Amino acid sequence: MAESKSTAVKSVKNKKHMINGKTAEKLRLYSLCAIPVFLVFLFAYVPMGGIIIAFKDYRFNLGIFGSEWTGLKNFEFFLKSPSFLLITRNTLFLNFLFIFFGTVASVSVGVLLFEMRSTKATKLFQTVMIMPNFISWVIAAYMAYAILNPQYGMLNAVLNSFGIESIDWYSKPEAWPAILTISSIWKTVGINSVIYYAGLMGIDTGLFEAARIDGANKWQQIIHISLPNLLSLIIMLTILSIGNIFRADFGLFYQLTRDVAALYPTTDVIDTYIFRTMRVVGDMGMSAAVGFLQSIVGFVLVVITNLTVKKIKPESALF
Amino acid sequence: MKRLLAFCMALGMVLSAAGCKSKTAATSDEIPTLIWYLNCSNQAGADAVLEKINERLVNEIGAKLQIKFIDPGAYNEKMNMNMASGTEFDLCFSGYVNNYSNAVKQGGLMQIKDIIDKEAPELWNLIPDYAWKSITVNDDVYAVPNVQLYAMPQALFIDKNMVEKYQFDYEAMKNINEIEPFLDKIKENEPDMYAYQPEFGVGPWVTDYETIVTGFNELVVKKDDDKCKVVKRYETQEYIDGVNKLRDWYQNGYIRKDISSADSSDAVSLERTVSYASSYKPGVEADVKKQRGKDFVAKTLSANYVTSDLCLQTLTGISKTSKHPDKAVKLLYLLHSDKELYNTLCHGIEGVHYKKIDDTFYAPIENSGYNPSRDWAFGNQFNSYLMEGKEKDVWEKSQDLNDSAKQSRLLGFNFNTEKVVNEISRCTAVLGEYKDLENGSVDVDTTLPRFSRKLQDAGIDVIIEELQKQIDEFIK
Amino acid sequence: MLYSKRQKLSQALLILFFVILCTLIIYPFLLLVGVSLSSEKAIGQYGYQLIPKEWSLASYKYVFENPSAILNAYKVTAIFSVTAMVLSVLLMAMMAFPLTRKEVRARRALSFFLYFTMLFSGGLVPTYILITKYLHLNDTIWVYILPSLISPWYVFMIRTFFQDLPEEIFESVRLDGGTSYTIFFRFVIPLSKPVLATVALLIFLGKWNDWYTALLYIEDESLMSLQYLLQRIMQNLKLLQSLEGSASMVSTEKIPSETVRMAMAVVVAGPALVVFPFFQKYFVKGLTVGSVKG
Repeated sequence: MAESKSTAVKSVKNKKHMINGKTAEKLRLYSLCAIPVFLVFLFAYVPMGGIIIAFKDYRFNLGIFGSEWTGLKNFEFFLKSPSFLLITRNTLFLNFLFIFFGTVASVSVGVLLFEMRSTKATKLFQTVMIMPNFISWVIAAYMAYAILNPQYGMLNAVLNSFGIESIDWYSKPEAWPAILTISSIWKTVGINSVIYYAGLMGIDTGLFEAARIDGANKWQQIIHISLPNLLSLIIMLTILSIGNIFRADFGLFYQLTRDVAALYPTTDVIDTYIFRTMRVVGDMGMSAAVGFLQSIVGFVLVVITNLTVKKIKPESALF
Repeated sequence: MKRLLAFCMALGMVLSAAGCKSKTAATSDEIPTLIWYLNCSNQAGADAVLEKINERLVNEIGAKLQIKFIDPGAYNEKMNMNMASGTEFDLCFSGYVNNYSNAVKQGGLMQIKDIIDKEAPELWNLIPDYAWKSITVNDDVYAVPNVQLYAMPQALFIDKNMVEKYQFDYEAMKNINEIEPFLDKIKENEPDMYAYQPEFGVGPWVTDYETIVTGFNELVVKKDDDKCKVVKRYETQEYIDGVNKLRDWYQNGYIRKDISSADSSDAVSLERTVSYASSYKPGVEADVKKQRGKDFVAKTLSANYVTSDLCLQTLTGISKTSKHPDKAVKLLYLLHSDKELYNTLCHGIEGVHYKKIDDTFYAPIENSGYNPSRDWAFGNQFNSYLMEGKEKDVWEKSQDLNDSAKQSRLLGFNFNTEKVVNEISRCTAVLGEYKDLENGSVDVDTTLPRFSRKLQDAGIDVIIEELQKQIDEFIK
Repeated sequence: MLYSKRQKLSQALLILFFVILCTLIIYPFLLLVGVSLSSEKAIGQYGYQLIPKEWSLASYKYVFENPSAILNAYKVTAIFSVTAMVLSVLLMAMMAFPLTRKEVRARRALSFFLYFTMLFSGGLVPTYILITKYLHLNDTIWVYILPSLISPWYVFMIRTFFQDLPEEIFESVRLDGGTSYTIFFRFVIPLSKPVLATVALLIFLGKWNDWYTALLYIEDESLMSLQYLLQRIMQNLKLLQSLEGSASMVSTEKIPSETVRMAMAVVVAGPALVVFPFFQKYFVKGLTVGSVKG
């Protein structure tokens, strides 16, 4: 056995410069990502030429390349709109709330789940928490309406039983940043906590053993082992979310608020505003222009965030 | 890696080549097939019906017909995509969905005036002048109107039981305000019901005005104004009276308190609404009963009137990408002139999909697989058989309403929005923000001035100037 | 193992916390089921109730009126969801791994290449033209799978996990004469079960709920996805309910609409929930490095 092993090692060593040489390894690694790169190129970069629609007066019969250039004209209606500041502020603020509280909630739930000893209980709870992800916002909005309904909503029924008068939630814009954030968390905490849970799964159990032997209690273990190891994941997911900070989940903002005008001051975001404007004049160039703006802003923010992260924890940077 | 890349490219090319081959093989020297996109859910029995129709079509126009059924909910999106991507097809429904003006403006439809002149000059006579006038854009025509009842007057619909219970003489009403005592009685005695549902907004009060630009209700013209001066609807006395009245009704409890967040078509609303305003067409009472489960009576509140907008609800457009527009036009002419062909397309094959009761009436056979209910998408609805249960003279009454209607001076006027696109977008957004003015849930005295100011800031005066300019040019 | 009193208490508190949390989370769902099992009339009179005032299966009867269509949609959706899940996870892992290796000089550029597509897109129209006119993927099952195989979001997530794998494993494999392929297929993948299972689950769920693809690219009835089919039923309902489509119905019964909407939501979500436990078995506590060293 030992003999064949040494001959095997020898023959391998001889071929080393061919099989294990740096270039051969490089080729192998590149080959792994070749098909995916091709797919991304085909389905994402080839159609990217369409971005120019934002700068054109798009006519169906002239196509993307035949239509006339209009420079920045398509951007005017949005940038010079009197509502521009309000909806931009709403979009950024609300998305920030979602990212921040969403992350706190998901990480907390993920960590707590990880501490659960009973695997049966863990599985049960995860299954329940993941349910909201299956419901579209249209349906979820009906549920929210059932709860927030001024006349026979559950929330008002509960308030009444405590002696508090019913509140018409749909006429109180101040309450909605909270309502929207809670709804966003409700929908995503299940899935996101599963991601962080998986992250915790990947931590070498030896680390926990060693800490326990050293006398660390649960709380200390969480702070010194669990969280730090999740940090790269948290940072990465946060950077990715920042890229979309100028975009709104249309279903959430439109369906949940039932498009009630009274709530616009705190819930009107870029995507709902655009939807409203396009009702009469449906112009592809204009909606493309806004989409382009959303991309640019997200891009700039991500680059800034990424550079900052590189200074602090280079391995966690996106690129 | 290079090999892998090359392989993938080759694969891609083979796939697309394979796809292309199968398409070209089918359409070489055969009789062309006209593709018609329809906003109607799939009809399982369509193949049989089309086969029968194609027997005739092949002989009479040298082409076959294929209908692509697209779900009504997806139709707008789908047609947008189709036109934007240059997909080849021949005909499509345009109107209340797949907006005609937009399609023309963005270059999706083909000019067919010359084609009609050449291939089917009789078609001009089969459709009323005012309909043709409405769809004229820049002296040309891009679709064929499907005739239906256009001049629908506005009406007030009231729950029949309630009317009888409280002995309300609705027939005697001269305007909508006279329903007030009845609403009061409802509020007193039927606390669970919604006395009035303001779905139609301020419409019932401003019946003397007509909208100029579809969807943009605040710029109107007085119906009897020969000069067609553009007026800000929200500054007229009628509007102010209307919103104030709605506000009163809201505060008096005739309108449900949560109207701004309520869905007027949800189960609760349908169950509890006692009265509401809507468009009226002869025979609509039966339909309302199906929708709400109760009998409703209707009292018309406005005169029948024809505007461009009304005539543009149901059209059949010819696609810019059509390779056989001449045959498509011929097909439409046949559908408008040949009653038998038209009714086959509308109702299916006699005995299989429907039973003919007499010359006028028919009864659809349940679960037959073909019941598209699209008379108004295929041709002249007045040529269609009447469904059992309707009154015999529904079509006559409808036609009367159409013909006796006063016609708007602005028939055929198309507002070219190029110069004011930004202002219109911004104003449209403002309109959405202040929709609550029309359901009584906001205080008029403070909100209306704000509304006016916001529209000012969004540039409504610029729009008015341009609009008036174009209108003056048009009515010369 | 003996648990101390304190540990038992903290476990009990933990469980209590989750019971409360889950009750709150599941409440809307229970409401959904409750409405779907109620009669339409009761909804009209009493609004949404957790326990129906009047029980009725009419909504489910309506949804399943044409069972063959729905069953077919289940089949089609299951097929492309599973296929997409398997292919996608594999390909994305293959994409992520080179991004973690120092030998790949272009890894920063590749990451950027990938990320750029998350923010910038040519939009729907060029993509539509590409898929229908050039690749002819419309009306085939592949349109559900191919265009979305690589999602940069998941690739980065997987990459983060790969980065956390201990370097000693790779060194020891190299010493034994293994190549990057060996490292990847024999070690990286098995060690990453939790993250790969998570991504697989997320992809599966995404595909299961997909209705937009069918709306744009599918006209063939037999290839409709489940969610899209149900949206159609809903649209037709709305249509039948509105004055426009009512001419077609011969019966005068009021059509159930809200209850049907809820029944549909249950029909779609149900099977996906059943699938979830299958993934959970991959959420295994991490292997220790020691086991590999041996």
